[in-house]
Parts: sequence; structure tokens; C-alpha cells
Amino acid sequence: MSGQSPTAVQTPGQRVLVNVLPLFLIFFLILTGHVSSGFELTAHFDPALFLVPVFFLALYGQRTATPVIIMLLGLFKDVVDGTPVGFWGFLITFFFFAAQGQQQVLARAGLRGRWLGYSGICSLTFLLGYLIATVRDDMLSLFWISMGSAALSSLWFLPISLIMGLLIAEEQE
Amino acid sequence: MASFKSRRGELRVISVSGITLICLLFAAICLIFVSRNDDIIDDMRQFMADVFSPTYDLISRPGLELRKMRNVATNLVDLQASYQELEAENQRLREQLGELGRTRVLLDRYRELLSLPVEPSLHVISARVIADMQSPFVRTLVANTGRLAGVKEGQAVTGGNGLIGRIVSVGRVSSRLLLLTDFNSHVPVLIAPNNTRAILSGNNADNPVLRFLPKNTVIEEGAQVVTSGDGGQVPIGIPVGVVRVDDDGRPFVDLQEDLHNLSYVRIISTRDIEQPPRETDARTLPGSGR
Repeated sequence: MSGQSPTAVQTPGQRVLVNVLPLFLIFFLILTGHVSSGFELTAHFDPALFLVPVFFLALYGQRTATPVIIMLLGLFKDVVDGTPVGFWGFLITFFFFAAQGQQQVLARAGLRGRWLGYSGICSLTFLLGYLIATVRDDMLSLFWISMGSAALSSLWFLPISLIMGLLIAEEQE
Repeated sequence: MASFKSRRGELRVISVSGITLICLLFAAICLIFVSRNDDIIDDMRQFMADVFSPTYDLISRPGLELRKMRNVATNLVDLQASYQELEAENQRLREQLGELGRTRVLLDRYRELLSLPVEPSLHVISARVIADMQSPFVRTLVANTGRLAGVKEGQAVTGGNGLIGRIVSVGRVSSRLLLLTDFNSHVPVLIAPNNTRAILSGNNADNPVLRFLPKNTVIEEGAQVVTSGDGGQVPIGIPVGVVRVDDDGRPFVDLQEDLHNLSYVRIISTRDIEQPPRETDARTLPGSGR
């Protein structure tokens, strides 16, 4: 994984921005995802905002330990959420590797291309989550809620990727 | 030569990446099949809730204030209508108050005549919702009250209008409540007016369904649903909602409480139910036939 990133990051500041900041952001977004807004819509859907920094890490991260940390963060989400341990651990790892598999294409793509890529992988991840939920006897998820969550996550991609500096990276190309 | 070395390095990186991928995904799949009700995991979950409860408390405050402001704004807009509605409700309640006093006297009399034991008094613990875990896969909340305040597993939790769920795990300063809409929630209920028994089961949607109804039972739409008290942990008579019937004729319950806008909840604590003596103990009791 190391040295695979097509976008070379030069300065130490940028290195921190690319490798460490997203991990903190994932942790922060997992925690803030539990804040109730009081709106019915957000109660139905889980936008899984933490997937955006995971996507960013998959595309630009340069540390070998990143997938392990990502999986641990997924397990942390399982523990705090109350989902079976390994559920989000699996989904988030799958998401990471699915995004990394498309790294060559997505890292060079424009913002629209990345958005499309994110939406596709996100939908696939939620579909997988829905399938696991149907297999387990202590879980149940409605298909439209799972897919709606993926759609909501895609809508949040732009503002969070702005924070992440994806656009800055685009300007550098 | 250099290009050959770099190609080898790239291949090694790819193989490491591939092995990591396989190992991590395999480990995660294995973990999924660890039971959700494992005690160690439950303890860890509650420990995490305790650890992060100050953080949840802090980050939920702006949302709470915003919700309060929204409610104030909504109330201001509907002030006149609300005032008239409350006036009418107040009148209705005053009329019912006299009737209630008479019923209470009669109830005490009947209880005395039948020598029924007095129902345990209810103790209410108020708590604030600090984290909302509602998602497509799970429906739970975390409240900022725990063992220190006397919260125990299995206790019923209500909002302002009716039952919302029950406590599933308790930490020192926080507790996790399973909402009625969660797939793993099953609460025994009574359906008015015939006191038909049923189990209210969550389905991860907004309206839980009624299961295990007696055969050939006819349930009227709009019938009141209350807790039956079976099992001893949830007190009898807590309002739950009203019966509705879907297009396929399956009954579900329209909950009295809006589960998406909960800021404060009340945890209802009842006196512990005494366990009946075991069969071996009963044999040794005087006058037990031996």
C-alpha cells in the first residue's frame, strides 16, 4: 500500500493532513453521528459520514497500518452503536479496499467522477450491510432505508470532502 | 535492473496488501458471528458508553438547545390554537378528575374485598437522552443516568406520553435503552376493550407489530394498547399506542410517543419481584406434604 498513491504529498503538514487528520475525523464523525437532530428523516437514515474520510484515506493514504486502524474504528463503531461486533468493522474495511481498488481511476478523476465513485461504493457497502442484516436473526433492515442512507451519504460527500481538502488536491494536479 | 527491483517491490507491496485485505475481511466476518448478547461485549459496550457519556453530553447540548428553540418558535406560531386546545382539554380533565376519584375509591374497595396485594409503588428516574443510535440496523438510545441513580436492566422507559422501550444495559453513569421499534424488542401488551393479550414486536420501522394474538381475535382499529405487566419488570397499564391495520389486514401499533424527538425520558423502577421458592426448597418447607 505504501507508495501506491498517485498524488505525491511533499510537505510534512500535508502528510499529516492526508494520513492522520482523516483518522481523527472518522473518530469524530462516528461520535457525532449519535447526536439526535430531532428530525424524523435523520432518525430513519444513517448517512455514515465517516465513510468520506475513509474514501479520502483509500485514495491518498500512504501508511500500511491504515486498513487495520480503519477496521479498528469500525469495531469501535460496532461497540458504541450496539450492532454485532464486526458488522461495521467488515463494512468499513470492505469500503476502504473497494475504494482503494479504484484508486488509479478515482484519484485522477475530477470531482464529479470521485463523487460518482463514492456513491457507487457507498451503495455497494450499504447493500452488503442490508444483506448481512437479512442473514442474521437478530438484525433487520429495510432495503429502501439502507439505500436511502447511501444516497444521503452521497449528498454529504461534497461538504465533507471540501473540509478534507480533496479539492486542494485536485488543484494540485 | 532498477526497474526490475522496483517491479519486485511493487509486487511485494501488492501481495502484502492482498494478504492484509483477506485477513482483515476474514477477521471481520468471523467477528460478525460472535453473539451480540455476549457478556464481555455487553460490558465493553457499557464501559464505552460510560467513558463517552461526557462527550455525548457535550456534543448533544447544541442540538438540544436548537430543538428547544425550534419548539419555542413552533409554539409561538400556534399559541392561540394551543391555548384554546389546552383550555378545552383542561375542562375535560376537570370533569374526569371527579370520576377518577370515585373510581379509585371503588378500586380500593374491590381490592380489599378480593384481598389482592397492593401494586408496588412506582419510582420514576428522569434522564436525558445523550446519544441517539437509531440507524437502519439498530434502534437504541443512551441516557445519562445509570447504576448510581438506581437504574436496572429491564426497567420500562417512557416519554411524556407513553412507553418507548426498556433498559437493556446499565453502566455507572449511563444506560442503554432499546426502543420499541428495534427488531429485538418484544413487550407483552393488552389490547382494549377485551384485554386481549399480544406481544408487541419491533421491526426496525416506525410502527411495531402485534404478534401472538389469540386465534379468531377481532381487533378494532383505534383500540388502546397498554402494557400487560407480564414478566414483572414493565408495570401494568402504561399506555403504548393505538391499533392500526395495514392494507394486508395485519395489525400494528401507532405509538403514542414520537421516538425521533426525545430529549428527556423517565425510567420506571418497580419493586423487585420475589422469586418463588425452588422445588427442592418447597419440599423442605413445613406443611409441604412431607
